[in-house]
Amino acid sequence: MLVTQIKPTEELDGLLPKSLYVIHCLGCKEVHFPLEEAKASVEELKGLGIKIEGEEMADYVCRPDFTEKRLKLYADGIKKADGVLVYACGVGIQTVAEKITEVKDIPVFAGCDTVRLSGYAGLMPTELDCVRCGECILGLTAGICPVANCAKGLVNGACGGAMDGKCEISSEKDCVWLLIHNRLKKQGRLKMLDKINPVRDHISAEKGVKF
Amino acid sequence: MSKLQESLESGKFTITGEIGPPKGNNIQPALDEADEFLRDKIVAVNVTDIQTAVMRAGSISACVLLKEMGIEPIMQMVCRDRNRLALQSDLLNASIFGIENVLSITGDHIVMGDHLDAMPVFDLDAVSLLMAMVLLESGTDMGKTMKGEPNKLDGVPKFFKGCVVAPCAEEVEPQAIKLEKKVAAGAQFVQTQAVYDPKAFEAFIKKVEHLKVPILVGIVVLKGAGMAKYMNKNVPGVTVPDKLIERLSSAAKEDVPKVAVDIAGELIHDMKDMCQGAHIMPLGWDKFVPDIIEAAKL
Ligand code: SF4
Ligand code: SF4
Repeated sequence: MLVTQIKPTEELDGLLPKSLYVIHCLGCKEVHFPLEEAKASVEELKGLGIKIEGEEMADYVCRPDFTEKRLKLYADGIKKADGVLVYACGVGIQTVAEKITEVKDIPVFAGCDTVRLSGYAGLMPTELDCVRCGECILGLTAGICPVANCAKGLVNGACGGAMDGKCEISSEKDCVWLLIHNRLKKQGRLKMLDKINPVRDHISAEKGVKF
Repeated sequence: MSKLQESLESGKFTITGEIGPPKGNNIQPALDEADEFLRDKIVAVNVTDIQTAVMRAGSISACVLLKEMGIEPIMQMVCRDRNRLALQSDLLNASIFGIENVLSITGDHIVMGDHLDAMPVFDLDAVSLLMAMVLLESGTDMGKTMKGEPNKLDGVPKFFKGCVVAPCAEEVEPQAIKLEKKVAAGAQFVQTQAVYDPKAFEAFIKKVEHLKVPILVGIVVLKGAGMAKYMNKNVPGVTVPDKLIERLSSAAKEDVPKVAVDIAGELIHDMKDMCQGAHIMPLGWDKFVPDIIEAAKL
């Protein structure tokens, strides 16, 4: 089981572009998504002057094939927006970030933090991973998660161990920090890296709701 | 102020060396080499910290012993094996022994070493470890009291804080950005990964000039053509040009050390105007360090 918690609006303020397309994942039954709070958070963003070009509910956003189809379905709204805000678990947000280029290469932002809850950890077997760290930085890392996918879980950039673009630990595994760097650079958003908290808070993962 | 800091601030071209602690407690050979070949030839000696994740004695004990011998140590510190409590605590331990120079390194992953089943820690990384040092120097630490206030240290350490960079990595921009972060976090000097290509080094130096931090170019002594080829294949961010490999492979066996010394000396000579010093990593060939410095014609 995993839980998402809506990010406080202050954390998103200053980070988001002027117009957004919003996707809520209603998920699989294994994930708790606080939909009411998510909707309230979108209202607050409107209050800050951010234009919402569309707001859609989806489920199983973590499934790449579903998500690709849906994004194409939402293409009209997405094409008007400068970014996509996703309320889903970390894997769901990463899947949107991967598939969004099929419609328009715009940044994807995490609307919530995925936190740990004992028990079943989601449904979709995928290459993408989320270790439910509780302080989701996907919005700052081009939708690619270094916490779960960098072999050292680094949050401050590449370690210098990469060779031919592959991670120090395996020639089969891409260096996620080079992926993040190149993707942010393509989007003209390298400055985002300065906003990452350089020290991880290992308590965040535990702030989940107990059922 | 440490001798290393003094030397760099005086604007002198500063040379540092390196020893590696043993796997076991037989520290004397490493100390003897430092005594015989490094003392008075160089400003300070790095002591590696569980390098490439191969279990061995750590950095602190050898640093203490070097200091007692009147040789200035630079304590390397990697983030792979200790969490932020242990790292801060060991910084205090080092400071109690009067060790000032500390080199902050993220560290190779566990899988590069000989304890593949160990847990990789990486609670901090090279950037946040520098931040931890700055906090300690300000009389507090990374934690908080029960009331949420900063903790207060009883006795405040002082460090000369260093970091590393790979100036010839295949993608240089992420390295430059990370170096910027390290300097912003408090790094006061930089030692680089091995450089064999002065042109690439110059290009990197131009990219980070604005940081105004002293940089010591890394010189790893090429002990033979085989080692050079191995490095090209296996060491990230290091490219040994073919012409150096040819020089080594065409030399008669007994001349290889002489060629190795010449190459290292020439590299330092070629790059001495681009940076503030050189960090020589002799990988056991400490006895040639005096010759290398001679060959560098500083
Ligand atoms: S940053 Fe944390 S919450 Fe976000 S995808 Fe990565 S592990 Fe999951
Ligand atoms: S090579 Fe890249 S992915 Fe691998 S540990 Fe280093 S920064 Fe992380």
